[in-house]
Amino acid sequence: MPDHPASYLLEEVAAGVGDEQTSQHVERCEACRAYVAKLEAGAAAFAEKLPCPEVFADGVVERSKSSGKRAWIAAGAAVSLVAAAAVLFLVLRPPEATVGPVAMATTTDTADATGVRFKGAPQIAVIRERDGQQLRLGVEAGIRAWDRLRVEISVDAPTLIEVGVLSEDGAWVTLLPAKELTPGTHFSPQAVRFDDAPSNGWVIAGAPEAVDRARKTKHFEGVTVIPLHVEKGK
Amino acid sequence: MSRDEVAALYQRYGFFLLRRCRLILRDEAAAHDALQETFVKLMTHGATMQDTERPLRWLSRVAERCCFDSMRKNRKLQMATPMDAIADEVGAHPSVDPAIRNAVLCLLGRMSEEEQRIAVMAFVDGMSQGEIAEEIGYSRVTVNKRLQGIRERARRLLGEAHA
Repeated sequence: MPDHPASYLLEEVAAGVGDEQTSQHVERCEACRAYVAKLEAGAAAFAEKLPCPEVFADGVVERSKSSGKRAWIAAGAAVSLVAAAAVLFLVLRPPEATVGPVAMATTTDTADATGVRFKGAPQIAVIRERDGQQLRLGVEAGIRAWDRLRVEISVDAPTLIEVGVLSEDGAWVTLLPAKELTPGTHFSPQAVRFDDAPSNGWVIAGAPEAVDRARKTKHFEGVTVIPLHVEKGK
Repeated sequence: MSRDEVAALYQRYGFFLLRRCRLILRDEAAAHDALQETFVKLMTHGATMQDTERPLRWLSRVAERCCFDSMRKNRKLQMATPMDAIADEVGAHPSVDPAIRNAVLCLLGRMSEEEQRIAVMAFVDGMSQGEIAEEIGYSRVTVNKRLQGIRERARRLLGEAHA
């Protein structure tokens, strides 16, 4: 029989909402004190890396609205991918070239940012996670069941932008709700994970009204797009 | 439940819930997905949580159910991470043997939902048989039998791993 309070009680202590009895036990029990200290350290590290809680909440609101749409499953705001995918690969691109594929496909392992910069329209690339491997794709992205995508967005001036994924059947998942981004490279707070029967689609980024128009018409003038196609096999 | 309330709860309890999801699912992306689904359920059934004195416990149980659902939908999740690679900076509860805990976590995908719940309460939360019996409404004898079975399978798995 355990001599220590259950983990959820110790977690409450670490979260600062513990009850009197558990807190007293922790004070006099070395093992529980050490356990709570590790929980507190983990919570502090999480808070440091924490994506803006409001952005997380926006993703939850969006998912609660869109739940039920098959083929697209919004996934959680991932912190861990940010560090792994943080290699910049920026390309020079004329301001008027805002339609169609951008940049070039490359893996995060081999991307080389030396001497390369961008100007004008937002640049996007897809970070595809499959079987634990991440691949950065800028031209188009092949997708399979259970793949997970998030988007890297680079802007060189403060830009109001919205990013999402549109499937051929019209289902839409927001990856970045409309937000003004500061110059630099950003990652969508949300990701999309496909179910066992994904369909072709597009990652679309641009000003909210242009994205809205593109969603409704499937004409992609004035937005940046990366096509998604379902890969055969496996 | 408003967006701001969700944000505040995520800020306060996000780490604890994500850790639990990671332990159960052993897959980073799936854990984040389950965490978000937990908060979606919170938005839907938030009124229930507001009645409880222990919001973290309520959220933890919802997170576990989201994880179990995710496991059932995607069986390959359970083969994702080998037992000795379970990442947990905190470690096992003081009452729980870390090796047995990790073996039990690796077996979760092969358990019934009833066993999964009991296993998490015993080997993640470090709850006593009496506490588990009270929470799920079973007799202590039944809980004891289930735990014996789970522990035996975990030991067999550990034996295979060391063979």
